[in-house]
Amino acid sequence: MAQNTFYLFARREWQLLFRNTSALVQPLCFFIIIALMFPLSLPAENELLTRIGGGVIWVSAVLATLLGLESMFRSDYHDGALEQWLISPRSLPLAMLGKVFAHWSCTGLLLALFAPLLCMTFRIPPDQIWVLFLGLMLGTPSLSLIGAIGAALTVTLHRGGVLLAIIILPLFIPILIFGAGMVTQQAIGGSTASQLYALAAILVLALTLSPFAIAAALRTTIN
Amino acid sequence: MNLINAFFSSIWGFLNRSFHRLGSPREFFKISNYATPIFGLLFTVLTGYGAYLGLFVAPADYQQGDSYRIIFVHVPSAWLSLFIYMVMATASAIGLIWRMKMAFVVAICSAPIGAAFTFLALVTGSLWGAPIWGTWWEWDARLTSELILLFVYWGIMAVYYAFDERQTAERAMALLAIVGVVIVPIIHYSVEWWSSLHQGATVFRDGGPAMPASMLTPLLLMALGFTFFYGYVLFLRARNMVLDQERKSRWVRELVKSSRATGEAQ
Amino acid sequence: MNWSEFFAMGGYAFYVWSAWGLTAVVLAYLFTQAKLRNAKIKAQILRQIERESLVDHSARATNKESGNS
Repeated sequence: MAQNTFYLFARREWQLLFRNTSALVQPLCFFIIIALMFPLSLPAENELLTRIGGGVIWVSAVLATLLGLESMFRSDYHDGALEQWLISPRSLPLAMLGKVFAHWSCTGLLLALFAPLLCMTFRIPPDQIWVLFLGLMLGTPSLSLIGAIGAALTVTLHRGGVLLAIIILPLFIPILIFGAGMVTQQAIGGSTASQLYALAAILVLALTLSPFAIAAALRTTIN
Repeated sequence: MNLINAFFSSIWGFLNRSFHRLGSPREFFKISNYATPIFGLLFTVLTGYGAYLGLFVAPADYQQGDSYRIIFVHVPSAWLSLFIYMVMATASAIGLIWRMKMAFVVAICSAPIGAAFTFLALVTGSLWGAPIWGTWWEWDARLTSELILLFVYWGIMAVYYAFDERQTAERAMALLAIVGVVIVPIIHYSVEWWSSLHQGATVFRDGGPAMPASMLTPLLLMALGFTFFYGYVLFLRARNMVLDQERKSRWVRELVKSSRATGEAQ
Repeated sequence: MNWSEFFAMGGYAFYVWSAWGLTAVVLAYLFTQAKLRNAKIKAQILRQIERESLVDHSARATNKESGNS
């Protein structure tokens, strides 16, 4: 039943996400647009873009994840599915893990896969693109998991979007620092191992703890 | 053996009883009747004496001159910004686990005080940095993580005020405070790592020359005094919150009536 | 003790006194806010008690009237 719960909730989420393809590409479009606004707002120097590109893409990824989080539980709340989950005998943390996994595969994973393309427009060298991709693959699941706690806390509020940003963005900072730091280290020829380990450690922590926090948050806000 | 056993069981019994007594708003009110003025008095005495020693008695620093006297308000504020967070998170956990009303009250009343001290630590740090580093803001690890801590405090307070229903609000806020306890240390270390990469040399020396007693004594007095100030204002705020929440109850009405009759301030 | 020298703080007067002053202001604000809130809540509760006793009296009065008539 345990495996089943994870699979069931992931499958349900995928079905819902693929039914509404426009919502699926929204975070991705947002990601690309934000990243492309930076070259337009900066002096036209290719060197500068190459240097700050990694950081810009990371900030865009964090903001795009945030955008995707807002709708994570909203429709489930409005159609009453959330309340059914709370009273069902299935393990809520495991169910939420499945849901977040599916959600991540349609936001964070997509962003990570598209990031190399953006990197080329910033003229980032291939070795750094590889490092950035690796960082995003390790970092975006943590973003989704931690962000889901905030999404669960604010799901019942009418204007939860700004509140979600205020409570979640400070918590995203370590991931941003290590992820963008990896690219910088690679650029100056240093070792990226420590940041990689830090990102992996945060991911392990998020994987083990946040499903319980998400479940607790849902139980708190939905009566 | 029996004696030791009896000793510990009586201590445990005492702790258990006082824990349960503190859990009831009415009992809390009774206890705080005595505790609040004591905390206020200790704050006044300790901070007053500490400020006197720090401003008049402690000698000027041989490198920073008199500007270092900001340390006597800066370091206690920074220490309290972390201490209050720990109290808030512990109270939140107690509230969520044992469903204790008063624990939530302590957690919620702590948040604005913690935010105020975080703000003070930031501004006094900036005021200290201006003459010594030559800049109002430095992307120093401590300043940066203190700034992030301020945002975490704001987030926690914003969550509390976003909900209409009190029970939901306090539990949501407590949950966020506990999540923050896991993440705040990670934030601190990540920022420290990041700033060491950016700056090369750290502004504060680790293990620098030991502080002479003439400077250390006022610093400790001020830190202790500020901690009692936190306790004092926490009691005041918690009492207000209990009055507000229990305004329908008989004992609060009796209390308010009698306080009007005697013209008491509290 | 030379007072003007003391207030000059070795040339750092602005920084030292604004740091200490701001701390004093914030602590005073925390204290005053708690005290004012206390007075406000108590006034609210008193008003509520008075209002309720008024309602009580008038209710009793109307009861009597209706009983008399």
